[in-house]
Amino acid sequence: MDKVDIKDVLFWYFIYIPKTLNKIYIGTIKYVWNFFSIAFLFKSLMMPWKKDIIISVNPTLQETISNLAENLISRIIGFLIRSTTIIIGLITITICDILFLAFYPIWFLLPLIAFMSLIYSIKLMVQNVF
Amino acid sequence: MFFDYQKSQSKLITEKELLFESRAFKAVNVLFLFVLACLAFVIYFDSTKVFSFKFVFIYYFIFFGLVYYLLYIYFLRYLTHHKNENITFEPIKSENLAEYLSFESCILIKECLNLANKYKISAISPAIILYSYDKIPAIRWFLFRVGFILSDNDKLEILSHYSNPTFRADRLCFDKNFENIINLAYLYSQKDKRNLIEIYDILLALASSDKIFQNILFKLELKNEDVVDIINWYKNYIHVFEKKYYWQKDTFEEGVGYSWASGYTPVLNMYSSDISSHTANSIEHYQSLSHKKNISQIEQFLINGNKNSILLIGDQGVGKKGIVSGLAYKIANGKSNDLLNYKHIIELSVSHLLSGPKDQIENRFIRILDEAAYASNIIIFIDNFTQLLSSDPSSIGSIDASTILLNYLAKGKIRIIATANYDDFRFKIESNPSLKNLFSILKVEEPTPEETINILEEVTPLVEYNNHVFYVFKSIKKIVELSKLYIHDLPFPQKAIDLLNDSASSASANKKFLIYPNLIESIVTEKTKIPVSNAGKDESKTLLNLEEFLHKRVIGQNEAIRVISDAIRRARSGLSDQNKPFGSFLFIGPTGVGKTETAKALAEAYFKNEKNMIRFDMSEFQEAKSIEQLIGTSAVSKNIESHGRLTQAVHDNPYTLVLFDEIEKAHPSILNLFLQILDEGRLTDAAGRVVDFSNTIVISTSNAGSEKIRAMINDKTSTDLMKKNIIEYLQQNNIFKPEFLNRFDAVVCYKPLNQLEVIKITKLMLNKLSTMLKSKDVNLIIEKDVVEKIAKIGFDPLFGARPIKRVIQEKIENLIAKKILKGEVSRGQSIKISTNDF
Repeated sequence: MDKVDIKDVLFWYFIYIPKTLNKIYIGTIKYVWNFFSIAFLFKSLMMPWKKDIIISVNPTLQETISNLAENLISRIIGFLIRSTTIIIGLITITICDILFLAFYPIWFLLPLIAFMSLIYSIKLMVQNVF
Repeated sequence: MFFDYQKSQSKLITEKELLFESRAFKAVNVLFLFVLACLAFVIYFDSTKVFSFKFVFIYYFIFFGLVYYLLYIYFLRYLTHHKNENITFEPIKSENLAEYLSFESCILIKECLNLANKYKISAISPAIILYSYDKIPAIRWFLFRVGFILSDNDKLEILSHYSNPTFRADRLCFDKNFENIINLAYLYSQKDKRNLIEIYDILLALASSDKIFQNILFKLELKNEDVVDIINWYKNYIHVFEKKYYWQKDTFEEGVGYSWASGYTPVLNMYSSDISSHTANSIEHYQSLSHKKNISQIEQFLINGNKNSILLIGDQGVGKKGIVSGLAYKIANGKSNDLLNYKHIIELSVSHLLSGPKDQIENRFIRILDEAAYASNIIIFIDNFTQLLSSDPSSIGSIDASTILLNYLAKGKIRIIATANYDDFRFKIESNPSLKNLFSILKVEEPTPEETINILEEVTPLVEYNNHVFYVFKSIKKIVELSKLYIHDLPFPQKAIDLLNDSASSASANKKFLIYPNLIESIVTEKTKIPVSNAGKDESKTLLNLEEFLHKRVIGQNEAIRVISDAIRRARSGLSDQNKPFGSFLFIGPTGVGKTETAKALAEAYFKNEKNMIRFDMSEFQEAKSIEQLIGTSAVSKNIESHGRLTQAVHDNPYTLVLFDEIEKAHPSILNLFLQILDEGRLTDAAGRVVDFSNTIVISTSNAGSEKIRAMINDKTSTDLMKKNIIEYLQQNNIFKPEFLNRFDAVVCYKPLNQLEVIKITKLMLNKLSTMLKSKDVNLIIEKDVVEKIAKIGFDPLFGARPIKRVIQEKIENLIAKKILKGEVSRGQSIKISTNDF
């Protein structure tokens, strides 16, 4: 505990943290999937919005047509809202994907970048000062 | 198997985890700051070229560096304590017990090593585990619950005892007892089908085999079962209160799209509240552990039952609403069956619903049911359901909703969870079989004291959190014990929860953090006006001097009093069956010899008041159907008193003496009731409610065979033989069956009184009169001859001492009354009674 072993730091940096982040990543995707209830929205995609439909008893022809039209509108509204939600959900998942995927190369390259920038700065310093 | 922590993989992994939590964090931070410093250096020395193309790389770096840093700070909060995950799920094959230690257990062992180094302890003994409470929260939690609280000085003093002047760090080791403890802890973990030895396994092993800790527990008056209970509490506690992050959840709340597939419920929303949304993600309603059995039964009914509406029957306060909250919590968090998950349990506000004219109420109710049926994701919860079944629906603010409900429930259109108490159920639902048959009926029994302790364990952390207090385990037990003994207006668990809340508020107001049993005692004393803190001592004193106490009221009958006192002492010292009444006696003897007086004296001695006695004159129960008077009737009518006089009285006051006078006159079928009471300590009433008799003293008296006793007394028969003969006589003459007689703790024969005893009884009665007059500041002086004369006039061989009271009334009390009314005696004066006065 008193000494920081470079092997431990490397293990932590290159194995431990990415493994943990993997878990967070998978959990986040599941969370977003459930939050937007994407699977359920696909199943109920064409259902009327809030079950809002009209059923008349012994309807006249005019009433039947009117009911059909109104029920169709309810389904269209349902479809539009659900499909929009699905799209928002999928976009959110994609953003999470991008953020996590972008994080990994940065994380792995950071020590290299740090080392390179150090070399570069020393080089510049030497050029400017001397 | 052996225990070698120093050479174990667990030690390496734990240390690595600890390293990652601290040093690595700093190392990476330093690294990142170093990178930023490098960048600043570059920009400073090359500022002229800042906008050139080759610096795009640097901008990219700065941008992602910042993004990285923000993410890094965000996630790093969670990158802790992975608890040896690699070995948690894989079976371990090692002979070294240390390999089985969990992350927390490793830290505990490590802390023991630190303490040993600090206090120069050469061989670490198991007791050292207890002193690691500073660093190990689980040990601290456990010791606080146990009530073993040490100051820093105590700790220093105790640990100094273990120190060894020849201590060498390189020779530090664990002693044999410590290894045994770890071995035992390993066995406990295996028994529980777990891979790793957790801290609670070590504590359990410590409690069951370490002499020092056992001694501490003994001093704290805690048994091994209590330790097991505390440890189970801890297991549940960490499970519920463990911090969970969104990605770790095995369950999720309802997603946004679920409610879009169900209908609008505008009227229902106005007259109800959504229990599911209150309970979701709230620890307040997590009592699902204690009500687990009832909740799973309701789930089964809701999923599989032909009748998918449920009626919960139980007394007010047994936890019916708690069950529904627990179910709502489970459903709202998606932990129930797929068919129920994310459904909404909506509590109907009946009082709100029943406002307005009858037609309006009915229309409103139909609309609500229609909406619930159409919405399809709603389970309606109606507390005190019978409020909707008014017997007088024409009155304002009441309806008889049974006809409306029949239509909906019969077609399975809606699902209802309703509650009712036993009386309302019998009056209003059982009388309507068509309605009753639409419900699956679930009886919610009052939890036992042991179950109540478990319920309190679930409730306590929340109460503690709200009031900033902490209960030692004995206080929890005390709450249950005292509420059982002294609070009778509510059942368990409600009365215990009320007491828990009261004690927490009181401690919080007085700025006390730890709640000990004495606070609970003082609160119960305040509530009930009974000095409960001395109850234990008082009880012991009463029991030891029971004969003396009873003889203050009962003259003679030495043998009977001795038998009764011995039986009560045996019962209270735990030597008798705990599931029977703690005393049951059959008193046999002639009338007027002190049988009923003994019962009264016993009630006064034991229950602190002779009125704490339920008395039945069994000559009133000579017909078979009079059994209904005792246990209630199953035939339901609004005009018939349906409570059983016996069952209701004992239900209302379970700590009482029950006296059945002249038991031989009761119908034989009634005597069969006694078999259950005396054998099992309980009786089921007509409504199916089980009434507990285990805290009662049951006394039956009988005059049968009194002539036989008289004859045997004249023949100077020995007490044992007399008892044997009288029992034979009662059996041979079919007065009592053998199974009835054998169930009593003792059959006690009362002897006829002799002249000397009658004089003593007369004196006792006159003393009572004297005391009564003294309270009116009148002094009564009675000559010795008066006592003897009254005893002579009042004694009747047939009726014993009973006529004496009448003689005192006629000869003495009448005389005094006249003197007082005539003004011959006023306050502060004396009345002298001599034989010439009557």
